Amino acid sequence: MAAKLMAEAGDTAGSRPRLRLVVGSGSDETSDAELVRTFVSGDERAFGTLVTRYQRLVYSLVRRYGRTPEETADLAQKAFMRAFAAARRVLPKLEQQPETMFKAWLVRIAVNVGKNHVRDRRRWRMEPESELTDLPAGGSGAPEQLEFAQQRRRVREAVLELPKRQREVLTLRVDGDLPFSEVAQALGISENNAKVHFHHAVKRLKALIAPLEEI
Amino acid sequence: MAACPDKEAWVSGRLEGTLEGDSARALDAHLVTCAACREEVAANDALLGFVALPPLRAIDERMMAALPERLARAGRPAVRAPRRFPLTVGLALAACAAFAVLAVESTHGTSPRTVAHSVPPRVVASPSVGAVDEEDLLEDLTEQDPEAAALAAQDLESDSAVYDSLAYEDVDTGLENG
Repeated sequence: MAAKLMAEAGDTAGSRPRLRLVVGSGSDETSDAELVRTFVSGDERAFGTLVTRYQRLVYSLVRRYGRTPEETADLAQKAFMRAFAAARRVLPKLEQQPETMFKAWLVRIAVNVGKNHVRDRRRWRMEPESELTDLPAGGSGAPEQLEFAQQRRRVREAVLELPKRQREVLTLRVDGDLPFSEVAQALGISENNAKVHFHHAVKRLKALIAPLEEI
Repeated sequence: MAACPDKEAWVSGRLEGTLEGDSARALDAHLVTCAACREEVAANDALLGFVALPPLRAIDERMMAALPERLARAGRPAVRAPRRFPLTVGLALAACAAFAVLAVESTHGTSPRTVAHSVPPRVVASPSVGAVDEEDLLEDLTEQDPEAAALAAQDLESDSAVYDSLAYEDVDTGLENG
C-alpha cells in the first residue's frame, strides 16, 4: 500500500530541477536500474518508488547523526531532497554498475548529510535522546543500568574517534546492515579493504575502551 | 586472552557476519571447549552490541513512515496561514488606517524624509509555484542577509561539487592508522 511519490520537475532545462512532489504510484518489483532509467527519461514517479524502497535504510544511516527522531527525519528528508535535485545530472554518469549504483550513491549522500549536520552543529558529543531510554530490560538495578549506559556512551564516543574510513565502514555495516560489497561500493574501496578497515576499527575500539574499563 | 591462532579466521568471519555452514558449526563446537575463543567471541559480540544504535522505537517508525508524505509536503506550494480576519474586514481596517494617516498629514504636514522612513520593508514573497529550490531560497536570503547567503552559497556549491563527483570521496588505496 505504500504511498508513492510522484516528483514533478518544473524546470528540467535548468541546472537544478524545481521540486514538486505529489503522491503517485509505482511498482515495487522494478529494479533500481530500471527505475533510474525511467526517472532519467522523464517519469518522475520512479523516484517516488526509490524513496519508499530506501526510506528505512536512509533513516537508519542518518540516525547516528540526529539527536531526536524529528531531527533524524529532517536529515533523511534532506538526503532525499538532495538526491532528487542532483539525480538527473549525476545518475546518467553512474552506469558502471547499474544494479547497485543508486543505492551506493544514496548511501553516500545520506552519510554526507549526516556528517555535515554534525560538523555544522558540532554535536559529536551530544547523546541521542534515546540514550537514556534504552536501558536493558529485566528488572536489573539502577547501578547496572547506569553502568550499561556509560559503557555504551564510551563505545559510541570511541566510534567517533576512529579514523574516518574505519568509522565509515563500521557505521555503514552496523547502522545500515550493508554487506561488505555494498559498503565497499559506497565508499569507493575494495571489499577486502572494507573488511580490513572493519577489523582495524574493532581492534582499535577494544584498545580505546580497555583503559576505561580498568578505571 | 586471544583466540586460538588456527581459529582466528573463523572468529573473524563470525565478526564480519560472513561465517556460515560447516565452518560456523565447527566454531560453535570449538567454543564449547575453548575459553579463550569463547571470550574473544563474546567480547566482539558485546562491542558490536554497544556500537549499534538502540532498536527503532515507535516514534522512529512513525517518522520514517511519514517520510514520503513529508517529502510530498515539502515540495508543494507553501500553505498560507489562515487569516485571522475575513478579507473584507482586513481591507476595511486598512482603508480606515490609510484615511486617518492622510487626514493627519493634511492637517500637520509631513517632511519627505518622514515619508521615506514610513515605507514598510519589502516583504519577500514565497515562490508562487511553491517549488522547493535551494537556489531560489538563496536568492531570497541574499536580499535579507547577504552574509548568511554567501555562506549558504559556499555550502551549496561544495555540495554540488561532491554530488557531481558521484558523491564519493577519494578512493582509499591504503590503510588508515592500521
